[in-house]
Order: sequence, then structure tokens, then C-alpha cells
Amino acid sequence: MGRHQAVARTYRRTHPVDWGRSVHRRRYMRRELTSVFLIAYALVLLFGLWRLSQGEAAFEAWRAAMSHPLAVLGHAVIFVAALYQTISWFQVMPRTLPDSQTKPATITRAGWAAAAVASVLVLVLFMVGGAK
Amino acid sequence: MPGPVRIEALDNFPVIRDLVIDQTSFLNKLEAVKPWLIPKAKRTPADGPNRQTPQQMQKYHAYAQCINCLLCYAACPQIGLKPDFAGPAALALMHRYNADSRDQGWPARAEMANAEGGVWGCTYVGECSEVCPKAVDPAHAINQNKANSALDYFGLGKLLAPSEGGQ
Repeated sequence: MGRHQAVARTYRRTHPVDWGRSVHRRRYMRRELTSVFLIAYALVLLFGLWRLSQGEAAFEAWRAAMSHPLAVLGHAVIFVAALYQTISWFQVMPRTLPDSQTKPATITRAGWAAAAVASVLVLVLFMVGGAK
Repeated sequence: MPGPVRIEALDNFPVIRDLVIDQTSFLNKLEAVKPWLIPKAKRTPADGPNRQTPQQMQKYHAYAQCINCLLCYAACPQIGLKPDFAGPAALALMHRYNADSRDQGWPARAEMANAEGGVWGCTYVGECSEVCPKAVDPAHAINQNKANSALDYFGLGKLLAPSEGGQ
């Protein structure tokens, strides 16, 4: 690529990428790692949907399995990861948006507020739906 | 007492000798983003000064502060993994020209921006902006252009031209 010719004789240092080198890299890796838990939860829900398609007995068996202490523990871990993902992602959101006069902290707080409102709305909808 | 200081050649570049690195790859990447004004119509000195308002200048001024020191390339883990990634400084300078009211060059630079080694090569680690001695914030330049690249993909590229008005 390009018209500039590389220097013929150079020494190339080869070393694996050090993802723990700085606080920013570690923060990035934690943020990205939590997305794996979100995928895991999506798969759990998809599996439940698949069991629902197999009839009431299959769905009830899935629900019973979900109330097993290990399943509850898994959900707790996923919840913490989802919370971390939400908080950390909105912290970096300002730099994904065009330049504006809005303070980055305001954008981050608006994101957190939107996530909180959406979460409460979904929770209320499920509670209302479940009560019927 | 300050901690120990580690002195080494810039990471992610071939070493010529001691602390001297070969920056050829960067020069080619910089040239590839066409870091010069691409106006809509060719101008001559007879046209007089190409004026813009302070607000229009503010859109790109921070990104014009890059001194090509390459600290961001040494900090970027993606440069180490993907040598073809255009990298923070080149993409920040691409945004510097795209955001200039005197420039209509997005179509000419779009291929580079949309490529695998363009803005999408960035995974937003953000370390480039932390090490930048001139507060250029390449991470912001690149990541706001992911939205621009997506708009371009959906055929909405004309929205990307900087406005010629006051804003």
C-alpha cells in the first residue's frame, strides 16, 4: 500500500498483545467480556422459547429447571454482568456520537436514565402480564 | 518519588536501530486518507480567501492538532494485531478534513473509511486518546465515523457533507 518503500532491513519485535498493560485496556477487556454473558442469557431465553413451542409440559419443565439454585445463581451472575455492561458502555458512549456542546457526563447520565426507565417498564409489563 | 521510566522504540513499528523506527507504513496510511482539502469546485488564488466562521473551524480544530508523533500507534492493540488497520492518527486526520466546511471529500475518502482497515478496524479500546499529547482524541474521531460509515452504506452519504452555513 502506498508509494513509500519500507526500509529494507529492520528488526521486528514480535510479542503477544498485552491486554493487561494499562487500566484502559483492562477496562476495555472487562466491558467486552460482559457481553459474553448477555449472549449466554439470550441463548437461555431462546431455549425457553424453543421449549414453549414443544407444548405446556416442556415449558413447565424448563421453568422448573430455571428455579434450580444453580440456575438462579447463573441468573444472578448474568444480572451483575449486564449491569456492568450497561454502566460501562454508557460511560464510553459520548465518543461514539458526533461532536456537540453537550457535556460527556450528561450523555452518560442520559444513557443510564434511559436504561433504568426501560428496565422498570419491562419489569412492570411482565408483572402486569404475569398477574393475569 | 516518580516511578521508573522505561525508554524503548515505539511499539508496533519495525526497528531500524536503537530507538529509530521505520514509519513507512504510517506515511502510506496517512496518504491513503487524502489529508488535504477536496473542495466541490476547483479554486484559484483569484477566488480570494476561503473563509469560514469560528463555529465551522471549531468542528475540526481539535483534530488538526495532530503532530504525527505515533504514540497512538504504539498504544493501539489493534495495530499490533492488524498491521493493515489505518490507525488512530490517520483516521483522526481523515475526520479533520471531512469535518471542514471547505471540504467535500467524503466520497473520495469513503472507500478507505468503510474498508476493513478503516474505521471498523477500531474496537474502541480508547488508549490512543489517553496517550495523545495534543488532546486530539482519535477514539472520538474514529467512533463517530462508524455512524457516518453506516449512513454511507445505506446510501445516505450526502448527509455527511459539512454544512456550509454557520453551524
